Amino acid sequence: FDSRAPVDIDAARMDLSDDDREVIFSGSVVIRQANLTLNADRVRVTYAKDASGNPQVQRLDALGNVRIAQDTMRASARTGYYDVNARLITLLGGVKMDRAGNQLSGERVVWNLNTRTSSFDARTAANPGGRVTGRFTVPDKKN
Amino acid sequence: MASRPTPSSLSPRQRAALPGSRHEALMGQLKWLLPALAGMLALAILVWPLVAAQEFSFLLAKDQVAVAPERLKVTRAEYRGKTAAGEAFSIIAGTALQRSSADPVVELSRLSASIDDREGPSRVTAPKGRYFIEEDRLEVSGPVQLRSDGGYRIDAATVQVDMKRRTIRTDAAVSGATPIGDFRANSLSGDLAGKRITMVGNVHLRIDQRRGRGSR
Repeated sequence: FDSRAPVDIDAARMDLSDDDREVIFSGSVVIRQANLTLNADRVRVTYAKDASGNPQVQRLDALGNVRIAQDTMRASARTGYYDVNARLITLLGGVKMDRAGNQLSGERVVWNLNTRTSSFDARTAANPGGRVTGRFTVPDKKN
Repeated sequence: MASRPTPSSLSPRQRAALPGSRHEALMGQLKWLLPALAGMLALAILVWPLVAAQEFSFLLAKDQVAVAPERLKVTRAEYRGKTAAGEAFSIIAGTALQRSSADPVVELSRLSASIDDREGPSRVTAPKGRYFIEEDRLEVSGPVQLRSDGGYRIDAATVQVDMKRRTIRTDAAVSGATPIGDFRANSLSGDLAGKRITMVGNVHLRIDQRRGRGSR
């Protein structure tokens, strides 16, 4: 997954503070990068500037009705956190993921954009015994 | 009539008093000459001012005199001012025109306003603009080039530049480049150096991490 691909962001409002190297988007934010699409109510983008001054996006914090989609994977959660350099998206709070028919849910999911794998964890401070639930649809074998 | 004494027997005075004498003739002439002279003099007084060619005379008609419509017209004008923080700014224009002293607005063409401060130079250039002297506000129109070291370019119809507070604002649709990427929005406000910007109304930003900030 090319984490240096251009990032296109659409929103109702944007507040940029170059000194803090931070841009806050609010109002049905849609972020697209390569084949990843992220929707949220509010997204905070933090970036750094490389030697020649090019902005390098470091991190996206998505808050409220977070939905991500990549190829056949759809997921939704309350908040999300995309570490661009590590190519990881962490979804937190009532995560539901649907991958080509397989539904999984949990409290915390780490989705790897490169390997397209996800690791689920349902334990939270409030519910240490939380269980991950999942339903897999197995295509019937033609024998 | 009594006999006429012969002129020789009279005294010179009596002779002079005889009818037809030299005095008599003189008086006769003067009798018509003097009124004639007076008449001619009166005529001359009347006619002479009209007849004589006047070297220079004019009648100042307030409306026919060529009046310059504007109060102040300057070519290659330069206006210097101070911002709230005390930094000097200057506005250079091809032509600067103030219609009348009543309205403190100077219409500029081919203008470029520049401010140098600790964050580096910021420059606003535009084909046309109006400068509101009392408010120290510059309203620039036409494709506005707003350059600052932050790589901040605005292509907007009209931009309001507040020189005192070094902020800019545009309410119409605007596009351009910010330190982080190309953008498009319904309205924009921010500081001149491009360090703090707010955009409202279907904002689109493209962060191009490879080809550099804001380059097309």
